[in-house]
Amino acid sequence: MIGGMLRLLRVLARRRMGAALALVVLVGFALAVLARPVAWPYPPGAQQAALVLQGPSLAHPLGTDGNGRDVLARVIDGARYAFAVPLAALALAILIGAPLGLAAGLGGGWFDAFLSRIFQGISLVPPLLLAMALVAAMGPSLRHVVFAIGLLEAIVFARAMRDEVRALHERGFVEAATAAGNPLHRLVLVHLLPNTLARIAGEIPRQAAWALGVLAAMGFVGIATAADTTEWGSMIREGVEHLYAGQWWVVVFPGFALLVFGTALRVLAESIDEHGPRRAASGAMLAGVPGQSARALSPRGAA
Amino acid sequence: MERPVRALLRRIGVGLFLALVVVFTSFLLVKLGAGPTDVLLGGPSPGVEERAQLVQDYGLDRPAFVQLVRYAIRVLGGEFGRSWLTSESVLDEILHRLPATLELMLYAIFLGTLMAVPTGMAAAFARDTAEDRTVRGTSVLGEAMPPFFLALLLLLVFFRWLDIAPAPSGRISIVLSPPPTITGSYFIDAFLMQDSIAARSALAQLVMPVFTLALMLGASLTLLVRGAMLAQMDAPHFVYARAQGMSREMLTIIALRGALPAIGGGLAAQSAALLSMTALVEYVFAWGGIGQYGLEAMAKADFAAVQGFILASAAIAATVHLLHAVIRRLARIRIRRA
Amino acid sequence: MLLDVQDLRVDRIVTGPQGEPVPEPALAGVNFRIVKGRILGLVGEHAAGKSLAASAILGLLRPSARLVGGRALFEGQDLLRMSESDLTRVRGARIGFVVQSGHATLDPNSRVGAQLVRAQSIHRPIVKAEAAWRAETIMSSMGIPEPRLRAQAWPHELTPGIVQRVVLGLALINEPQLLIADEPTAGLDITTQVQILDLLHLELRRRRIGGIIITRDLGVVAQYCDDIAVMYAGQVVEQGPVMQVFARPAHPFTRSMISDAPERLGIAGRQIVPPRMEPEQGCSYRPRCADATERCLVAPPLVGAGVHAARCHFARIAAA
Repeated sequence: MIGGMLRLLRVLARRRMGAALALVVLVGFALAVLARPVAWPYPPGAQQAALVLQGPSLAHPLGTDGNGRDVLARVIDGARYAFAVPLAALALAILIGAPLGLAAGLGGGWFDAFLSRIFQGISLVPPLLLAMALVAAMGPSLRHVVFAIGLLEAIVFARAMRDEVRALHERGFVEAATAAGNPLHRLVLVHLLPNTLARIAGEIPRQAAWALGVLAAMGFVGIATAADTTEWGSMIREGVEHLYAGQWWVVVFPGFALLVFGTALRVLAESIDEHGPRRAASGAMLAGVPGQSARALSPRGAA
Repeated sequence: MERPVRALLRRIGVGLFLALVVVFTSFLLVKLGAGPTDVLLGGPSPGVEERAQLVQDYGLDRPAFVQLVRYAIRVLGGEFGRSWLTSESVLDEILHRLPATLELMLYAIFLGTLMAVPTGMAAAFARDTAEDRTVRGTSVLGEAMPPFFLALLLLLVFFRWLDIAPAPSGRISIVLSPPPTITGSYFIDAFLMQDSIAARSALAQLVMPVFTLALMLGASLTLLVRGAMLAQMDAPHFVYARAQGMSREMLTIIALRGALPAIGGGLAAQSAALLSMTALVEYVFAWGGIGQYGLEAMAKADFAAVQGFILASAAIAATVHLLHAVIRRLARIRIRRA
Repeated sequence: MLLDVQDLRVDRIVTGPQGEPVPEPALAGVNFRIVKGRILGLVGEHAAGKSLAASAILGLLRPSARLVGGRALFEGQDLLRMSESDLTRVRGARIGFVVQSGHATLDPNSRVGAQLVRAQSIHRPIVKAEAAWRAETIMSSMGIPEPRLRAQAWPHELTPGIVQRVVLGLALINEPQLLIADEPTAGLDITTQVQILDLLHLELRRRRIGGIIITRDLGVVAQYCDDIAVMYAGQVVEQGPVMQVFARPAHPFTRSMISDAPERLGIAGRQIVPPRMEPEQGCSYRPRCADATERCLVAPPLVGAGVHAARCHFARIAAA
């Protein structure tokens, strides 16, 4: 499986300029976060009344915000959230969703149907709004954000896993493996899991992009965290009043960071979909589930 | 029991089950909340009487399962509770604001489709050329764009810098009073009342939010249209149509006709996402629809309102899916597909 | 000369080991000629390039294939150099196309009668009533019972036999000079196959137009065609009048095909893995040829006397 992933990365780098560029962008953000304390030593939290709302200049290439803080430093620092929250949510989602999907795909019958209907019902509520409502109810904390997003993403992964497992099942792989005398856990761990996870690999960056969008929306409405953070959505929220007054940089730069980061993730997802192993058509894609898509034909939920 | 009747009953049963799932989700929302339910629903400082009323209405002194049943019965009977902020009935507030949201969504769908179909078709015909790649790239960008950021960007350019667009102050200029309610759309109602000043103001206020939503919807729709057209163009009957000597225009019509089901399905599937985007755009433009209502309720911890908003959103999404299913059924009857 | 195909070359774009697009020769110089009033049978194994040649001539190559060279002179004009708008005037009007598996290829969203009307109206201004009448007429001459009723049917409602008759009708309704039939009886049962082929043959003779029948079945060629062109690995390796070629096949592949083929009209099309094209190595049939020598490392020229020619160093063409 690792070998397959490495091969995939090599193909991506050689053939798809887009994916290569996307990876460069993401790595760039990561490096910026790591290097910032040394390379750009304006503390993101340092408020200096004298420097309030200065436009982009040599000293502050992205300007300063309403509290005199350097925007560039804050934007780079905000990338921490862009990495951490989607990653954590993904981990939770796969941890919950993959076993559920596996069980549904293997077991079939009433459990599968029951689970499907439950997912269908939950998906009637626009996932972005449901996640926001959950966090609003549970209280402003990143842990709750991760929980809410992870829960909703789990549905996506459960469905994707279920479809993949079903497809393999129907093609007789499961029968063949069990007939060869494989005990259930070996079947799952050695055969099914790596295969299906590799096939839905493209879904991972796509869900990460969705998570980023949800986090930003929560930050923008003001329910993500209680404290004043460098999360990009919250930065935009603070900057709106200044935008109308003409100090556009406080809103525009964090917004562009969101756009670029999100686009990079989606381009990556697209490339993996195109060049990775073929996957079964996912039934979830037609239900407007968060950020879900399989081919150019399927709809992409942007929320 | 005949087959069609049984099928219909089955569908109703499924629908009921889905409704219950949604109700359960809404119930769980408040149960997972930080704080006792009566505080969440009644506000940070409910009076003794109000608290007692809440406990009685929602059965808060009873076990959780009973509470769920109580809640389900209330909701399905149309009782969505009361907002502690405004002391109004949540259902009334939502119904009052619903036309505003629907207006935005419908115009956005119309404009978005108008933009997406020609673009998607052109991209499909110019498959794999530079133009095609540009279209695809722009669409991916559009999908990654946070709706509120696009709205703010457009406001920056057209309101702050170019001074063409009006301030984001809602559905009509703040100095004017809204027209009497006939359809619920300020623009249409003002038009019907021949109040040209109000009509013009309402129209001006509509432009920016509709355009924002249409751009975002258009991005994903373009990719959808492109994909559906390509699928048609790769189909055997399409090559055969070319072999018969059909002109480019005719081929386009044939491909489009075949692509319609996929496009329709895609639109229906996008409805949930569209609702989310609309809510965020409403928030930026202070539009006064259910989206702004719901998001503000979340920010202010008014959870009866949040629950109502969630239920209303699910209801809208369900209606769209239902409509889509009905249209598909009708189209099928007309074509009598195998 | 109705259709003169010279040195037609087509490449197929394939994904290479690194994922990059690699062109692979699919047609390596196809030559054949159709004379008005005669029917050519284009035979070859699966994926020898027969349908590809037809698609190339009509300008209908899939995005994954590319025209690399050659000429296709139809009544003096090179189809391969024509503009798309000129080609649309030729297709369906001067060259009719009978496709295989009409079920998959007829427009599923249109009634059959409407398609026949449309096939006419796209090529010339015609009154709906007249087009409808002509549609009905041709349906009945194709042997479709109750044509008026059938015209209201959707393609999926009709049996495969009727569908192929409709397809034939669509090809003939604008009175073309040339008819190209690509495996017109694929997927049909034996009785229907015979009926369709008989009908096709009859129409071609009656109208005195030229025809190409692409098939894998030698029996079809023997029964219905005047000339034969044998394709192997993207080239025509032998061509000539059916009688002559069958009597004295000059190319080893033709010989093996004839000797293997069942005597009567029946099922052919052995599924053999198509040969990889390796243009450097001379004769493409060399790996399978029992009589190959070192001479065959050089690409063989077309050896021929008049209408009968074969691409083999050792071809001995008997004088007609």
